[in-house]
Amino acid sequence: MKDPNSEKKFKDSVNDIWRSVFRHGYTDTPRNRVLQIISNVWLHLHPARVREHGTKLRFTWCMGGITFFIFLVEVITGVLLMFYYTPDVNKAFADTIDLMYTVPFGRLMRNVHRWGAHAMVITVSVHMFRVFITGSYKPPRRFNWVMGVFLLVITFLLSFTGYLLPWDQLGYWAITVGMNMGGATPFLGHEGPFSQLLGITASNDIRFSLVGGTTIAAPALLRAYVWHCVAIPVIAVALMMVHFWRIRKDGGISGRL
Amino acid sequence: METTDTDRCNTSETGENIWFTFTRRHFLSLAGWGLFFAAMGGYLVRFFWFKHGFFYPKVVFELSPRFTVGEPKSFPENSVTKLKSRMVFIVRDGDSFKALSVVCTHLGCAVEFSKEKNIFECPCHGSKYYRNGVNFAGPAPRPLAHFEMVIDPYSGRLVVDKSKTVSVETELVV
Repeated sequence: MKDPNSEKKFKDSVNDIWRSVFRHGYTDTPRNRVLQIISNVWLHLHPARVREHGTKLRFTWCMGGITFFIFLVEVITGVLLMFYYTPDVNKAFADTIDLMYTVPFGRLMRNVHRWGAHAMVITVSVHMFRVFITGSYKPPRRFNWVMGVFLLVITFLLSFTGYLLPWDQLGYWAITVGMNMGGATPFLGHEGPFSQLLGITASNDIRFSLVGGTTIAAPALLRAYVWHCVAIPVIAVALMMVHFWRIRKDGGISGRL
Repeated sequence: METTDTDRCNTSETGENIWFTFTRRHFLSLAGWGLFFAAMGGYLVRFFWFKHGFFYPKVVFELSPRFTVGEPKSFPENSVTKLKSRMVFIVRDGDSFKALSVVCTHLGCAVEFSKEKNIFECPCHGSKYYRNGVNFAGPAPRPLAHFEMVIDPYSGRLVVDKSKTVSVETELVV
């Protein structure tokens, strides 16, 4: 019964699958190396060629790359936390405690998410510092510096919105204080200068639109949750795509132009 | 309508003949897209506009600013009672009543009354207020808000209206 060619057929079919995924062999020529990179959807995100100085850690400190890595860690741990967390004032804190004490690996995921958030603020700041002291904001990289400033703000907003979600005393009062600062916005905050000109009160100012009410209550928790888990990450990814694409268009990650 | 050479947009590098006829089709196309984007832009601006946009709900489910706190005699003489859910202190000194806001005027934390020191203290940044709500230490810029308090003529109970603030000197004598 056994087909004498079955082994060969099996190997050929495996080979076919392999070659349908990786279409360029191992031939070590400059052309083939480039083809290997640009024909792979993951590897093509990297430049086909990296200049030698681009790999020197002493210059870039890899801070942008580390920031992006931490962002990916935050996405993964954040999605896992969402499986157990309910953005409801009666459940949020209990869910957080349950994550810590009853969910296998829950405490690890929460702590990684939290420390990652701290780390991301630090690395993004160090990245900005490095770009500044190496003068990498100068033309033609000016546009990308501005994108980077937007991403810095996005990082802060992600941290800020995430702060409220455990619905504990720390986060609650931090958001209360932060939102009252928002209430002091010129023109749009009810305690800010010139707000009377626009007829702004506590129930129609910028703070009201951010927390969905005049006090930090259920709507504020839901809004923080949606901003934190959906809206801001989408904006962050969009800005990151521009940021990374622009690095290459502006001549690579380091070195003179 | 047949396109002639003169209708085409000429982009020759020598710079010769760079012009094209602005036909009726161009005009209608421009007008159509212009209206479309103007309308979409208008809706978007209206959507995110302040005071009446998407992020400003017309109804919020919050406690009423005007509420009954109870009969005057239910508050002991010379006492400070914190109504936690309403975020007010009812301060009684003899026959005089005051309704003070719990919210610190610095950045909005909830202040606590310290019986030993007879002052209000904010746990966030250390602002301090006298028993009458006037600030004397820390970053607080103003005295605690004083709310209007009246006696309901039918039930004889105290009613506080948080939507109306009164001067620091105001007190309700029963």
